[in-house]
Amino acid sequence: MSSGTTASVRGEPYEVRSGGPVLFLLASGLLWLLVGLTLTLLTGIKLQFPAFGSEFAFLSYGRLQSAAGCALVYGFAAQVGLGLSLWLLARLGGRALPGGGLAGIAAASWNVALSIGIPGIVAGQGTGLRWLELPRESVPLLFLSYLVLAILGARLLFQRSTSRISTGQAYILVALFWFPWIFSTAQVALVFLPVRGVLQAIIAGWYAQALFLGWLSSLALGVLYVLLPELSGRVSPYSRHAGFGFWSWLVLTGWTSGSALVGGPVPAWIPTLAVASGVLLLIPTVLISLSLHSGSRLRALFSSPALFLATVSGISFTVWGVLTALTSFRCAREVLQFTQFFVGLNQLGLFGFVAFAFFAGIYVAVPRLLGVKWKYPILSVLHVAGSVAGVGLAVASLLLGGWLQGWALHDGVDSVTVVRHLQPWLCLNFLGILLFLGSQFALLLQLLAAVVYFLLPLGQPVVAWVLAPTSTSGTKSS
Amino acid sequence: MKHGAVLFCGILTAFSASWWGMVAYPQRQLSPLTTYLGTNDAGNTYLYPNARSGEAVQGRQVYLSLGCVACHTQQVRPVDGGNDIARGWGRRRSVARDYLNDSPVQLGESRLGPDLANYGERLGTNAFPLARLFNPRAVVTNSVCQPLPFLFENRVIRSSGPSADALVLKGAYAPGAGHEVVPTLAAVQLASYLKSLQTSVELPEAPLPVVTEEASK
Ligand code: HEC
Repeated sequence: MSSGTTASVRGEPYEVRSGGPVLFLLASGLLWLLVGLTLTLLTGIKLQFPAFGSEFAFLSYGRLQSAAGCALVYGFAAQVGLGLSLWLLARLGGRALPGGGLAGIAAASWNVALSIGIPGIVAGQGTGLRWLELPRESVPLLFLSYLVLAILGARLLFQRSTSRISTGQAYILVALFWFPWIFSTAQVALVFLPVRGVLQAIIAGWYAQALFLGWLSSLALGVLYVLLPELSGRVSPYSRHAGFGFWSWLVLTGWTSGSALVGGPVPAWIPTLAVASGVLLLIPTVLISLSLHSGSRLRALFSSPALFLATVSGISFTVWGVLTALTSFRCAREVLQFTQFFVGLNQLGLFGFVAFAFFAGIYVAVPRLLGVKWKYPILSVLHVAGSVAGVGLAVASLLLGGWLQGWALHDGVDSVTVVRHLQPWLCLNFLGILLFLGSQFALLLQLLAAVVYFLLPLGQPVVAWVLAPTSTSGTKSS
Repeated sequence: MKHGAVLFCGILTAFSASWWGMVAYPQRQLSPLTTYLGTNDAGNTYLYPNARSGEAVQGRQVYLSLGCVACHTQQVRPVDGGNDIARGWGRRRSVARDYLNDSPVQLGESRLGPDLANYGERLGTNAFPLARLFNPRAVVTNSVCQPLPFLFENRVIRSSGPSADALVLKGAYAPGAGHEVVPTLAAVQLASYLKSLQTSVELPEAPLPVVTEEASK
């Protein structure tokens, strides 16, 4: 891992050979991040100026919000998470990604499905179910593409050259199969052969919780468990708790979904069970946090963007997990239910924890896959600083604003006044997201530079040939 | 962790456990729920929930497609679970039976606007204020509710005289001279759906509060 010449940053041959589809997934995931954040910003504008674009149905607040959510989850998080997972499985298993061009085709068709689905939501064809808004036409292709990638990933795991399965690999395995399981259940029970009445809300809640706590968290934890020790050069003194953390997390996450239905029109045992499992969720949260804890010195943190991001991601995980557990209590829900607090909590999970873990992965993966070092440290600094500050501001403002909104609603303040008092916080959230979005351009520039440097050697023979056509044979060796 | 097979089986068990618990079991528990046949004080029988009118069902599609659920819930929490009833959003808590006819269910998870589970009831016998759909600010100052001008037609007043259902709009919201704003079919359907939102019907699992404050269940 020492810094050095181009040759020494290149990963193992089996990693490099898996590089094409992985890089494609990472790059298209980042582009969807830009789309998702832009749509989020538009919803922010609508909350300050409802007249903005009100002539157009496609600029409806609800449609923009659904499209933003789907772009961020299925466009960004799913793709970057899958790309990094495949890379890690190849690397840890000592095998190149099997299936020839199949992975690339699956990744491309995933993007095709989203390019049909997300404009479909904006056009008003969404299903009206949170996180499942993608119109039904786009679902089969999405599902198939995912299955192909998941099966290829599982093959990497089961044909690995080492006998041990690390904690990181275990989380990735969970993630690979969690998604098709919940997605197929939810699609069948809610969209294709819909069940009746509030059962829909129960299943949709189960899906949403499993989507974030189960699937996306597992992808991000997989990345963190591999990268944190590697980047910091330290193993947590509590790493032996990782196993119990893993199993308790796995067992509990599927049961906490009822907390979104506290006080709702559902059988009483559903929220009760959610409170119980929500409190128990503190156990895996603490165990996982301890076993991830690298104990890095501050100086080490600031010298590596990847280590810094991975550490922030770990901290966000802890805060997110603890807040998720605490807010499953009835007394908290009574006040905070239906407020922006949970939008903020969601941004903490999706950006502060998941996206930052993925960024750390990108900072490590791309140089190894391309064999090119990051060229402009200043761009990394800008990206990391902007992202952390932006997400911090966005999340803090909604957690606080949502808290105040909850008390105002609880005290019977009328809706117009509640929203008027919320607007400054929404505005801060907007600025935070704007900063987060802006700093992604630093990462994209950096990526672009890396790709150009990667392609340069390929260009050399051409350049040489143009300059001195007679001596081409001499430049072949480059 | 050494054995991939053990790991795989463990994961599968955890997945299916929560699937049985949160998907299959609630399905078993809730699927027997049917329309309620009750008798009111006057001795007449009633069915609940009633099917919505065709117009309201169409309006529900408009509501769905515009994503009104992003800001409006349709669920009243019990007295011991929030202050919804105290706010006047309903007379009793919402229960599973209220939603039997709705697909997809729009419970909602954000309240930037008021709960709409009983909006029709709040309207009472008043006509639906269509101007609120055209532009909520024409009705409520500083509302951030979504304006829907695309559900209305701004047209030159016909030679036969102004249309009967033209909106009464004042000040900045009024159409230009010689113009009028009339609702399209979608606006009328949406209004009909919103008016149909009422749940204050006595059910065994959710009695309406009588004189005493014993409304919790
Ligand atoms: C950005 C959030 C937002 C969206 C989206 C939204 N609303 Fe509203 N809505 C509000 C707020 C805030 C109020 C309270 C202020 C007022 O009465 O206008 C409100 C009030 C209402 C009311 C009056 C409720 C009452 O108790 O008087 C109705 C009816 C309504 N909205 C219908 C809709 C419909 C239909 C849609 C979908 C096209 C919609 N809203 C979309 C925020 C929203």
